[in-house]
Amino acid sequence: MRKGTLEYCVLAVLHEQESYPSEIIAKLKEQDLIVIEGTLYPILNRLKKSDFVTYRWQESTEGPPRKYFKITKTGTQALKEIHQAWQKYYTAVNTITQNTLH
Amino acid sequence: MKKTLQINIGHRLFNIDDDAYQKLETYLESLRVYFGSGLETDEIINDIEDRIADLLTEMKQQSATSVSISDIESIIDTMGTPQDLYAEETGETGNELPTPTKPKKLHRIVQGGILGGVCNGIADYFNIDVSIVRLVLVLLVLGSWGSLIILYVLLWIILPVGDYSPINSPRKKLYRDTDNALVGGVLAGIAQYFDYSPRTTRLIFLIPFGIILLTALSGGPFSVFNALFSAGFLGSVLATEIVVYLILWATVPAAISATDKMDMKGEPVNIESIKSQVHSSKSSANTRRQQNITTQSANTGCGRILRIVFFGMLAIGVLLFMLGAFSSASILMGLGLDLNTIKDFVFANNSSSLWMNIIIICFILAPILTLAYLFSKRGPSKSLVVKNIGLAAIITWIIALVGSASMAGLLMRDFRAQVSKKQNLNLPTASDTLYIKYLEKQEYEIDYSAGLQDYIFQKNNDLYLYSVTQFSTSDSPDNEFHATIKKTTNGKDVAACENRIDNMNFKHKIVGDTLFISRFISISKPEVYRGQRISLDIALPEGKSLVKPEELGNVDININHGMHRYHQSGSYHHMDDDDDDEVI
Repeated sequence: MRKGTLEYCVLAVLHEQESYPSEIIAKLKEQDLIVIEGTLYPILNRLKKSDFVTYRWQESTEGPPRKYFKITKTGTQALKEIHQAWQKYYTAVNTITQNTLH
Repeated sequence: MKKTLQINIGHRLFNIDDDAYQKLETYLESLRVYFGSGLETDEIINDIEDRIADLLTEMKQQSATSVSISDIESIIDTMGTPQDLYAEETGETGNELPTPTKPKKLHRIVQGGILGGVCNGIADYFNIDVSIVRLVLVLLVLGSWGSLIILYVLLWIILPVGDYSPINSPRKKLYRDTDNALVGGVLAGIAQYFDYSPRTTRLIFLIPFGIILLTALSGGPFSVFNALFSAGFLGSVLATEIVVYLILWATVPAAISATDKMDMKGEPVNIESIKSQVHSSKSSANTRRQQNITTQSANTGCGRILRIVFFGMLAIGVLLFMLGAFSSASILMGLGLDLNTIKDFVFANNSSSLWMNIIIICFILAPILTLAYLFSKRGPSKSLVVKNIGLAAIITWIIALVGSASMAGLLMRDFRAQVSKKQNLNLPTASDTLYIKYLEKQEYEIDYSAGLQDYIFQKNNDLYLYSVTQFSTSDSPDNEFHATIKKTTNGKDVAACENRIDNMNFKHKIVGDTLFISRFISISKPEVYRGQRISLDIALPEGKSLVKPEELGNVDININHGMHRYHQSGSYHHMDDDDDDEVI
């Protein structure tokens, strides 16, 4: 179940704001969505290969330039589709569990 | 006291203890091996190094000490070892929800599949390697001249899309071992799968070629060709080997990353095995470098000879395959004849004859395009060209199969009706013996081993068919000889049949006490062959005899099955004064 969820969350984070990896990790860690940070990088690579995200280098005030990731149009489209599917799934699971656990 | 180094990671400088540096280097190297070699891996590693630099900066803001081994350990904990990453990727961790064991179901598994994931699903169901399923399928399809592709399409339609079943025990996977490859690494990979040395599989692969070569060398100068073509069995084994090799080369993935290589050898994936993999690949890279300096042995001697032999076999294999394709295409017509001369007499008009050409070309192109697609699909970029090759392969298969099926259907329709027409000939009774002779002067020798060329051939605009396919005798009601010539043909309806009978030319004449008949019926364009045949019955009066060519009535030609039988009837007996002819 966790498989694919992380991709969904990364896309959502990037949809909200253009970010560099450490920012993405910080946001995911706030919600305990990521434990092993190394998993983010292959995901970013996959998303980039599917044309869902792009990146650019930007100078930073403290230290070397940073790699800022940004969601693309196809990425936004994919995010919407995943979001709809997720909502449907979420409501379905919620309905079932509420009926049985109460 | 500890030795301290200065390193540049993520474009930032850090002071680091020597042992911590060793640990960090091993860790990064294990990640590099885990992700495999390539540009993408470099990018991922660079990103990870950036992150490590960020983390180190955070840690060192509080204290101005150098980076220690415990710092690196906490970073590895945060980032994850290759083992952690592997568990995360495949979902094989202990904190998954327990899945109750349910009966396995046959699914299509699109992820990791090539076309529709049918083979992938079957492989998952039986817990065998998908390459083996693919190989069997491709051989079945090629062997059935494409017709079994329908089985694949059916499964594609019927089977629901599913996911890999979770309870699969870890197993060895078939990879191409590109590290030990001479050509495509297929044989080396098979060797890994069955725990043999690559030399063994290569030797087995070369056996048929070796035998052919030996027979060739023991004979004269032209015996290479003789050996190749007379040793039909070895030739076909060789051709099959080449086709199987190409299929495996196209469908089996190369073992690139460390986990691939461990799957190939059936080793568990953990940090220790990855580490040993790193060391062995490092040392093999070193030895390879040394070899390059001294002799460049990979490109000389045995390696080069083996490569040349392989590509020679490849060329021969492709040649044999094409030969087989062409001869099968003509056998497909059930005539065993030169297609071009005969097809005008099979197809009613030029457009269907043209269609037949297209279908034959498609039958040859379809497997070639399929292989080309499988090869090009493996490349890194899935360009428009690759997609179009795949589309072209599917279209050629469809044209070849649907076209030949509808063509056969149309032809069958043209054979539905059958009409016979009898013609009675009165024969003079001057003598006590009736002679039947062939009109054609030249003695016609039938070579029973020859193909149908003796019975059907084309001359100018006419098609000649062997005429009397059935000969019989009966009792005459009176004191005279009677001959009955029965012309029979098939057609789409009675009117067409009657028209066709009128277009059959069968020459015969009566001179004295001899009935001369032609060996052949001839039909002229645009008339077509629809089973035209003639049967001859001679009514014998009591006490009189008949002398006929031995051949007449003894050759049974069954055109529809493309074969002929010879049978000797016991009821005839020989006269002393006649050389070859039989007498009743």
